[in-house]
Amino acid sequence: MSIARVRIIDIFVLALVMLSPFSYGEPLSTLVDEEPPIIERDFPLSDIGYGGSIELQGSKSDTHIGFGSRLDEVITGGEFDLRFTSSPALQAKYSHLKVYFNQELMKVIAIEEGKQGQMSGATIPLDSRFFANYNQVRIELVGHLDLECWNPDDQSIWAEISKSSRLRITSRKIRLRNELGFLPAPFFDEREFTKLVLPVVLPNSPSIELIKSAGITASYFGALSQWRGAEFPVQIDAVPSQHQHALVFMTNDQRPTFLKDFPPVNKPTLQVISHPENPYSKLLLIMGRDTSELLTAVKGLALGNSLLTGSLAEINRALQIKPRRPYDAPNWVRTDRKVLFSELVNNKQDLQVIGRNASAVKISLQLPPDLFTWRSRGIPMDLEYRYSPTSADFDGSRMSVSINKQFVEAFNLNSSGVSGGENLVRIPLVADSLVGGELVRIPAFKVGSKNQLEFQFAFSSVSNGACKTVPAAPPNAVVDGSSSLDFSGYPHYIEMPSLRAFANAGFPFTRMADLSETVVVLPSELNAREIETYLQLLGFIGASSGYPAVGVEVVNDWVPAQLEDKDILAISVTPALRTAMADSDALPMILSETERVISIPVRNRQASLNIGESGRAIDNEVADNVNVSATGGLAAVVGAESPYTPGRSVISVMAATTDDLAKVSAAFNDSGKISAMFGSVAVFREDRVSSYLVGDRYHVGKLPIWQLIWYHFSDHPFILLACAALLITMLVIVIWRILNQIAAMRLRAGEDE
Amino acid sequence: MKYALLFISVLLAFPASADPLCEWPHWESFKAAYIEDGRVIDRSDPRHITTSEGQSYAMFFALVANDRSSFDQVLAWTQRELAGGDLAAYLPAWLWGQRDLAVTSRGGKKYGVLDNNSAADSDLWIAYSLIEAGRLWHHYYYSSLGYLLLEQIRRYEVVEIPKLGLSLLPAPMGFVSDGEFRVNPSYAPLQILDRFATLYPQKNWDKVSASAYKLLLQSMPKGYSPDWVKIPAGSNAANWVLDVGSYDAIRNYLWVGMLADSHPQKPTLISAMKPMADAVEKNDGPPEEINTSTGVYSGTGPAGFSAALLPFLTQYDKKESLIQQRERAAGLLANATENERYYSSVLALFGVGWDQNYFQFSKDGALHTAWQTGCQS
Repeated sequence: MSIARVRIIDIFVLALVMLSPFSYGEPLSTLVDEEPPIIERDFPLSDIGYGGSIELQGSKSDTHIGFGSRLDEVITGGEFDLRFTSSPALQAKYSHLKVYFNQELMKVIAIEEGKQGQMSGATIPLDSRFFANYNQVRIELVGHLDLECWNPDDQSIWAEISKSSRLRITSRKIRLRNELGFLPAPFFDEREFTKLVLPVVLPNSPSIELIKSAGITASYFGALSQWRGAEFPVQIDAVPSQHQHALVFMTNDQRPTFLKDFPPVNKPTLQVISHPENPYSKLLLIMGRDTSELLTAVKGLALGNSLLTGSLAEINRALQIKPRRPYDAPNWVRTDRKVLFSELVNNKQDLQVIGRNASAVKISLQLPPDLFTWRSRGIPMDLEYRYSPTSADFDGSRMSVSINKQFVEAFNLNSSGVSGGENLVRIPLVADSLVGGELVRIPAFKVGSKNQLEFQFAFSSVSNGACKTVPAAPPNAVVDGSSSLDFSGYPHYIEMPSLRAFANAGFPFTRMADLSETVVVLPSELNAREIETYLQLLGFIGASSGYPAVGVEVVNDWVPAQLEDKDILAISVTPALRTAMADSDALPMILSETERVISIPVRNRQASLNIGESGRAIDNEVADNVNVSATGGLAAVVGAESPYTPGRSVISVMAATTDDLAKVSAAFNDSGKISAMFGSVAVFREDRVSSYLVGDRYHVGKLPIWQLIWYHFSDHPFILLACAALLITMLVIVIWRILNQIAAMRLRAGEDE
Repeated sequence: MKYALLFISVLLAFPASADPLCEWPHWESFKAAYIEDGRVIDRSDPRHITTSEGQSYAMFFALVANDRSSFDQVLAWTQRELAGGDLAAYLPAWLWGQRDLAVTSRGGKKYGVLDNNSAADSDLWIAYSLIEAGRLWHHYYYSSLGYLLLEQIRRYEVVEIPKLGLSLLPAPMGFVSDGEFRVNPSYAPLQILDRFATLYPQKNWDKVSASAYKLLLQSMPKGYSPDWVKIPAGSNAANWVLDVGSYDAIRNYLWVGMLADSHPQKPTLISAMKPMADAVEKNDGPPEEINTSTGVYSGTGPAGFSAALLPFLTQYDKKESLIQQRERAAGLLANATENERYYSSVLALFGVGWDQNYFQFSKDGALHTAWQTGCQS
């Protein structure tokens, strides 16, 4: 008998042992996590971006609700809990809602007699076979009126889908390979539409350079998360929660204990590993021999993630070849040349609408907050659009342009089907007259720097009165992608402090998208909460600019030499700040564990939507100064001019206790609170934000000299008048003297002859 | 002439890697006979199987032979075919080969994983080879992959057995039932466990090593090691059910024989195993099958057994027996072109390779290879 034969038998025995369920088949208790975890999600539509109820107007009108499926999960089932109210005018027998899931009809919901006009509900099972990476629930209204002659576009055919409708999704986790090629997934999955929560694991007492690396990474993930918001819970020297993917930062010397004996690296290295307790969760290890290599690894991740594959990548080099220029943040509208509409939308489809009462074509723009458009005639917009020709010219079909829900101009749609010759529109900069003579400065647009242009096409009904037939197909309309807006040629100049510019666009730090003119000052003794706030703010700044903060400097002591000619973001460094800026006009708020001092303005200008933040000069003068000792939660964000370099800013985040910093972090993920931040001080108490414009004002940016004079003296016409009079008097004297001399010369010449 | 000088200077500069003495002819012929495209083929099975064991041994031998390209190839194949592309996330499946036709007709590939369970001994050897390769070749990827594989082994294949301690299970599935455990002493070589205990002191490998030692020692009442041991719920060594000692157990003598002389447990084990050395002498060759409870043995094992016992026999004062078995092993290696004796061949590479000083283990299990020191064997 050969060895080999016996060996086979040996193998078979082993195999049998493994297959036999009675003798040895029971899994070990340690292997329970082999069963893929099941995740149940239940969320209302308001969680995936529907702020209000969704209107369906007219028969055959529809709406889409989109949601994604994560890379690391397989959806096994779902339900859509639809809540809606239908028009009381709908006829029960003929009216219904059709619910499609990924182009497959799932259920028909009849409008029941007597239920019209009331909130009704229905549960639609979503077939797991039809789930895809991106999923869409489409709800179509088929409406019928109880009239002999009725029009499918009748105003009384409607239904409203409540934002309290819920999606319930059951999914199973997939054990992903440790693969960098999936990056940024599974750490950030763009198919998930909810806030990104990405735990960050740091070693015990992390060095400031390590914290800097973590901050750059946070800004990178912030930039990816865009409008979703991002949160980075910090865990110091702890095993991260086994139910979440997490980032781990470490050098060969500074490591969390649970990876203490992980082999040391020789180069800047990125590696994906499984969570030690749960193979369904992944850890992204960002490593280097020392902190400078760690920084290289982070830059490799932020700038070169499309090159990364395999479970491990060593970053040989990560350099910015070309330095960023001011205002070139990828998320901001270009100001160096005309910008085409096609550049402003993700998908050309977004510029097109179908239907008689279709929703508007919407274009969002993020503007640099310091764009100086004061007294300009408006932003030129070269607009072209096409549409299904109307049956007659001037039949009442119109296309209306509005900006931030404010009407700009409307055009008649006619039987030609294309925009006419009058297509150069100037988007007004919230005209002076609108605010009753109050000077409107910056920002030009209503809500800071996030703006929405809307083009609403409305086609008039063709069948009024007598029973005329409806056209076979609903009308189409498209705004041409080659339409353009031109923001070039405007100077950058803004009155500061402006927490609105910070809260909406991360300004002034984001002026350089890579934060290369920013220094972040942290306290020398850091706790997890402070690091969290720092990561949160950098993530928020990344989301504003769309670019990782690879140029940022992070320090943990207040050394004036390092802070010169930089914009300063100070977190919890109140004592140093107070020493540096002793004047209460310069620093309007001080908050520490022992003391609370605030300066109150003469009159606090509210953040009215149409008013820029600068009130008249006198309003923001310090009228009262209050010093209180109290316990209880309080946090604040304060803007002021840098004490070291004129024209540079300090934004300081302070809190009564470090736990209160969470209020600031939470506010930057809450659009309601963001819009309530303005002026120089924003105070966070319990669940409220109050903002004040108080203390010294200063200006950032450059203006041509004449504009500078006009702008600054526009508040003081009499000074200007006096200056003009003085100038004229001087000129008169000079001219008078010259003429006198000439006359004298002539006289002398006459005498000589 | 100039080039010759250059060549010589290169040789002087890199004596370890370029020295032709470092070549390990037995590895070269094994490679030619059994490895195709990074896969070790066991042709003795009609399905032309590959086991994770074969892959793990090949990686170890490639490291001993300083044959990095083969190491990479074998690792790549193992990762791709046995571990779902990633050894750091999945334990390798233990059996791969030709699938039966019924499966194929249903659209499956002709070759593939036959059993998804994994074999703990192979997992340990792969992890050990990776970790030592990372150290000897200064390669971070190998070290980290080995570390992560070891973490999985710890997680899925290490379990607390009452009255024995933290022990290595043969596989993640199928060896525990109602508190009864089935274990294999040859799956847990002490030098490997000691190496892990030294490198990763926080991870309890010292306990696994202690229980492996206990299992090995207490499972040979007559001095013969069994292939398998069944440990009924809550039982002492007296109630253990011992299997015959044969093709698996032969490796226990091999592992113990290769322990460093300074290893603290070596003397005890060697003296406990003396009956086996006597049996080889009496039998004129290694017995093929031994009743480990009674000590009755029968048959003569293949030449691979003789090779496996070389390190073991050098521990005793039995010169004649040693010479006899060396000759038998040499005969096996002389017929290296024959490629249907996979198991004997790997035993021979271990036993003869160690005997000829191509590699040694230090007291804490670290690998010393001939090429590190310039091949003065």
